Amino acid sequence: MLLRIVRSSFVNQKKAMAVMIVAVAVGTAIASSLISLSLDITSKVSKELRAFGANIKVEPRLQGIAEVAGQRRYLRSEDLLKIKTIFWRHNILGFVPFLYTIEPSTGHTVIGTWYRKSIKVPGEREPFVTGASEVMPWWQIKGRWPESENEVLLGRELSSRLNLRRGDRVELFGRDFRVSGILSTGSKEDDAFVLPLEVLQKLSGLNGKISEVYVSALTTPMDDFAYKDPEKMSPREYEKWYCTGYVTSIAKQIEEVMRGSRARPIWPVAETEGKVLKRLGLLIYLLSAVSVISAALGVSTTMIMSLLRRTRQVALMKAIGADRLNTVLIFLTEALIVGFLGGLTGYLLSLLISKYIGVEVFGTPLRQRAILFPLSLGASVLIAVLGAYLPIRKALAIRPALILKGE
Amino acid sequence: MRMKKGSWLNYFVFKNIKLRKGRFFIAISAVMLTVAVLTAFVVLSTGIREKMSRELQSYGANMIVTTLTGLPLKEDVTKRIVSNPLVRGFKAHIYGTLTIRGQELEVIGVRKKDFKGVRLEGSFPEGGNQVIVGVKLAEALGIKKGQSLKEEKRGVTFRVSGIFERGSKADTAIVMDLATAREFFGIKGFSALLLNVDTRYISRFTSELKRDFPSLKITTVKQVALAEEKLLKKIELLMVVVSLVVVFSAAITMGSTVGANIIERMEEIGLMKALGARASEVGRFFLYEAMLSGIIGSLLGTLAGVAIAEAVSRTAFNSFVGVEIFWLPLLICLGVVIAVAATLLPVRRATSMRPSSILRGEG
Repeated sequence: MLLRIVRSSFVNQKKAMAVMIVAVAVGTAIASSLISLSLDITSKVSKELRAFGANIKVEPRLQGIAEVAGQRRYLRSEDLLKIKTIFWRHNILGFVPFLYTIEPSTGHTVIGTWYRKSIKVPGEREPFVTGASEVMPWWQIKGRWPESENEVLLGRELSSRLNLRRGDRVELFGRDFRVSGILSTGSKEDDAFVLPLEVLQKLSGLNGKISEVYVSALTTPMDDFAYKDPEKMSPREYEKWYCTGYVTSIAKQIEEVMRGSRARPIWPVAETEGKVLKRLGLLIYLLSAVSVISAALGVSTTMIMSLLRRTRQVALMKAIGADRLNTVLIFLTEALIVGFLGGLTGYLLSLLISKYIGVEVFGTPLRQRAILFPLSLGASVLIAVLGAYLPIRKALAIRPALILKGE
Repeated sequence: MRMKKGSWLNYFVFKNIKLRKGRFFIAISAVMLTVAVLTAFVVLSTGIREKMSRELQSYGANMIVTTLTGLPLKEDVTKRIVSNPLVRGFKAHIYGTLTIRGQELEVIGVRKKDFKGVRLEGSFPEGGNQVIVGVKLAEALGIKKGQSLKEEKRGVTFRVSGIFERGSKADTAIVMDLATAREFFGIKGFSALLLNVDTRYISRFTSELKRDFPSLKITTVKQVALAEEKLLKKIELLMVVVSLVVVFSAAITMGSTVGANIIERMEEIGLMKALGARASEVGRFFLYEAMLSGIIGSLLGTLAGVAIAEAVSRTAFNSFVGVEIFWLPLLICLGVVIAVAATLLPVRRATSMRPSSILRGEG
């Protein structure tokens, strides 16, 4: 009996039911995809923020005033790989070593670095690709990165000062080089020759030595706890600090693996990152909250509109002798079905929407969280049932004759 | 027997609203809700660039202006540069050197409010003879907070009021207050101007500056400028995409509310037709009603939407967001159009049906 009545109401009132299901589905879809977005936004944007460059700089520890002016100490190339072995190794997105030297006869600066280097990390199957192309995406090369041992890259400013162009010959460290391209970076490389690190190490006799390393790491935004001095922390606090991906704790871990080094956060980058993430995250949370509330309200208004009509049906049922329980059951079953169908379609739609948002904006889909499936289904059924229950209760309290008369 | 045209319409529309206050109220709420969400998203999307670029300023300047001659920038030149509306923010620096323990050390003079993106242990130098020292220099020299430094050339003693860490070249320098540095080095004007220029127009700004002041050396900090523009574009895109999705769904939900109202009133339409009303008259009756709820709902909705946007901006960015007024009438129109369309489509269908089949419930 119950099922028959419910079925007939779906068959006979296709349009009304369809409208309700559509409303529930759209509401669920929007709520669920915006929740996905707000859960994923910080990790997506923090990757984007890495475009601002490295957030940790590793240098040799200085001793004595004379070392402030000139380079006397170096880090070691062989320690570079160890950066990918620290506790937070998966958060290390890239690093670039630099070696600064002066060409003895002309006094020009010659910089050795990696542009795009594939290195084998112990314990990882995939090689790790790193270098300036990954960490400093604003580098522009007209021409190409040196491919053989007698090619060199020339900084933009130096090239106009020396009046050298791509393809020209130049002598460095007593050897003949061909300019393979012009580099423009907006900082000190503009005024220098740039060579692959290993080539320069051999030429200058600084084998295995590097001047500094820039590291780009995904970090947890600094909070009040992170600003405490690690040396004054209790052992438990220290452990918590060490095992959280703050820029300071990652720097500390790098310092531990690179001998004679001092690793420091690049504060303008590190601090802005935290601030931007906090603000943007908050913005998206709030917007999602607004959309979720409006979706819920929107679905409710549709439900209420549709169910006002039910008042009359309830009255009729009561008049022909249906008991209270039966009447309520009929409408609740109907609402359950609407909520379930709407919720299911809505959830499936939200998969598409969050994929669209992710791919369109960040190039990768948003992470799908399994918890959203039961959540969105539950919420849509709840709203549908609530939206049904309230008008029914009202209808049940009224005398049938009055309603049927249309008052 | 027919009433004068129009008068019965008004009579019905208002009587209907009066009789069904609840339903009219729900229709208005649905429109208002949609328009409010729409407005909030539009206001925030258009304001986001300005808000975020202010946050991004702490990455540092995206343009550095000095002179080709190495002489300080004159005060009137600086004033003209920073008063350009494309300049979003600026810092002024004074450079010099101090001789300490036989070594020439770099000095940067800067205003307290411009000294950002730095970890400072101690306090920013105040008054004549205080300085703060970069952490690398301090470590190399063994300088601690509270110590004194003797400048050997001029025989002045400075007190170290703090140690700072920035993670850049500045860590091997000494920083003093701009006014102190100016007096100490006898510089009028500034050594360098660090600007935050609207990244969209950075090349136009550069060429204008070069034309007006040929003696200036202008360097774009590519790292900041490019990354900033890229990020801002991405955030704008995010807002647009999310707005589109939300607006689309809000329009559907609103349409379904209004549509449900009509579906539920099919019988009424049937009755009206059975009593001899023409399709166009029935249509007009519902049109007026839809327009009324559309206009009231949209007006309230834009107000609510602006309020929501301001509340969000206040919470997320600690400042209000500017509202571009020309959007508001557009949004109101959109609200009315959706309300009318969602009403007229089902009404059109209903009026084309035979009254008897509607009244029998075959909608």
